[in-house]
Amino acid sequence: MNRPVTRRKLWLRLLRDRVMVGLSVAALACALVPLAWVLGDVVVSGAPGLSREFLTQLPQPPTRGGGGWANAFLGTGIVVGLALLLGVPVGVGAGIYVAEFGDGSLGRATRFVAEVLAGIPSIIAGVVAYGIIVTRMGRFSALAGGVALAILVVPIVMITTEEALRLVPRDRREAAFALGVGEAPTTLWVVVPAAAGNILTGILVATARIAGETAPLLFTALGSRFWPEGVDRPIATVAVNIYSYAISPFPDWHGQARAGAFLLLAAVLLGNVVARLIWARRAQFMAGH
Amino acid sequence: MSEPITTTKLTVRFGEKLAVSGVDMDIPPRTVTAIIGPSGCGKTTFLRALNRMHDFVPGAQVTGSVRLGHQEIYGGLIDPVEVRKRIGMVFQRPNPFPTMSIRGNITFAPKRHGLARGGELDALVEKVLRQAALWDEVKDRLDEPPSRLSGGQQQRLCIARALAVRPDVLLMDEPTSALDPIATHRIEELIYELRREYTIVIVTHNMQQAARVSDSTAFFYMGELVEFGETDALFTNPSEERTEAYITGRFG
Repeated sequence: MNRPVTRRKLWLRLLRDRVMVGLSVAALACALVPLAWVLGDVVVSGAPGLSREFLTQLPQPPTRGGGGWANAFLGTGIVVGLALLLGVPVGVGAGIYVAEFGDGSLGRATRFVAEVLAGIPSIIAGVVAYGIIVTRMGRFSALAGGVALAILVVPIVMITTEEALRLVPRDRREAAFALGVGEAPTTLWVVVPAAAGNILTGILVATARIAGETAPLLFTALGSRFWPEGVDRPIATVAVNIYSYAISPFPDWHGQARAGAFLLLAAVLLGNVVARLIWARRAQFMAGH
Repeated sequence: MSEPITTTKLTVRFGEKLAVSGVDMDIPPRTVTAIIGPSGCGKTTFLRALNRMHDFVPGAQVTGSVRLGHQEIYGGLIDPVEVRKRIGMVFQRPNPFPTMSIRGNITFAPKRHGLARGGELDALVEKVLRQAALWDEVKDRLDEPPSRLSGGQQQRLCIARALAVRPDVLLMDEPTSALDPIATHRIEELIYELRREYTIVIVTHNMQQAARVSDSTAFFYMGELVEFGETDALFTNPSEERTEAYITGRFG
């Protein structure tokens, strides 16, 4: 005989269900509201400051009005590009080593160091770059900024690369081994391509992270009011500009800081979307659509 | 130029666990040898020992001897990569490389080994796809990804891919266990055809399959080779009691 579910128990379960759903919705709201607030505020306060002049002109002295951040947009591109150029090969290479060949103590040590490195405050990366580049060259430079950001790129890319490679099923490797292909070419031609999507995601995450980093650039790339003059010279960047304009006492500079923040955010989002679209076409090939 | 495989006291341990113990077996060239036995009897472990696939398994330890012709494949100066060029393998689940096209799956290893280039590659692709009875189905879509193929077609692609390296021996680990009956039938026909040129060792959990495709059959039980003989004889008149019990369905 089945005992009927009593009314009281059913009511209690429904109540518990509602409460739990309610709590998760509340948690979602707690996560989304600040995000939407920040995004909304950046758009609302930043978009009006955009102009052709802002995008194409060099900065003007404060209170005179006008002028733009063209040098800083170019500068951020250069510094981020340098950081990726230096950091991605090291990160991907170390990730491959640790995932595929790093079962020994060197592999474990490398992984441990990467985890520690991923957790250090970004200003420390700036201090390191200051110590090894700026003091030696005797001046602030785009290169020093690139090195500081590359120190942040390496652990992110390395850890995501390692995880991406570990996700590639064993039978793919065995398929290549059984064809008489050695371990290194198997890694290069079979495992890495299969993991490329997730590795790319790691690079995007790292790019988004460093594009907005300010602290490590303050005493490496410094800043500049002129067009970039070379990787061995100080260089303007959007993030540092936002900081120095926002703490300035000039209202017109505050407006430019907001517009710069909006553009930085938009560029990072756009870059992500474009990279993912390119990737999606390849993923579609593999899925056979 | 297919050569016999001879194992002597072949033993495989995983850590403390003995998976295959002291197997002596002579596999003649250009025949199909089926390996049957209940789950966990060591048949797949034995098969993978024949082309040194245990090299990648931590804790796996292989002792005894495997010879291809006169060459000891566990010899100190032997490169396991070279062994696997001569002894190919097809796996339980079709595992084409998803990032490569159908053509790319086949040309990948020959290109790496410098076996063919340019126009030779196209000829090779056609040749092995014909051998694997897949050419007519894929000849117009060689640049498509293998994920567009059915499971059975993918498995035939994997066979073609293995043939493209020009091995002497083809090891097959339950190659039809993930396939439907029609696809299974096609693979079995293919195995029957391929034995003219290759030495084939096939692990199967399906005794009917062993009876259909093989010349000789080996029955493994608890890591030991219990009986090895002509397929017809082994199924109609087994000399060991355990063999008879297994093939009549009393255990396993």
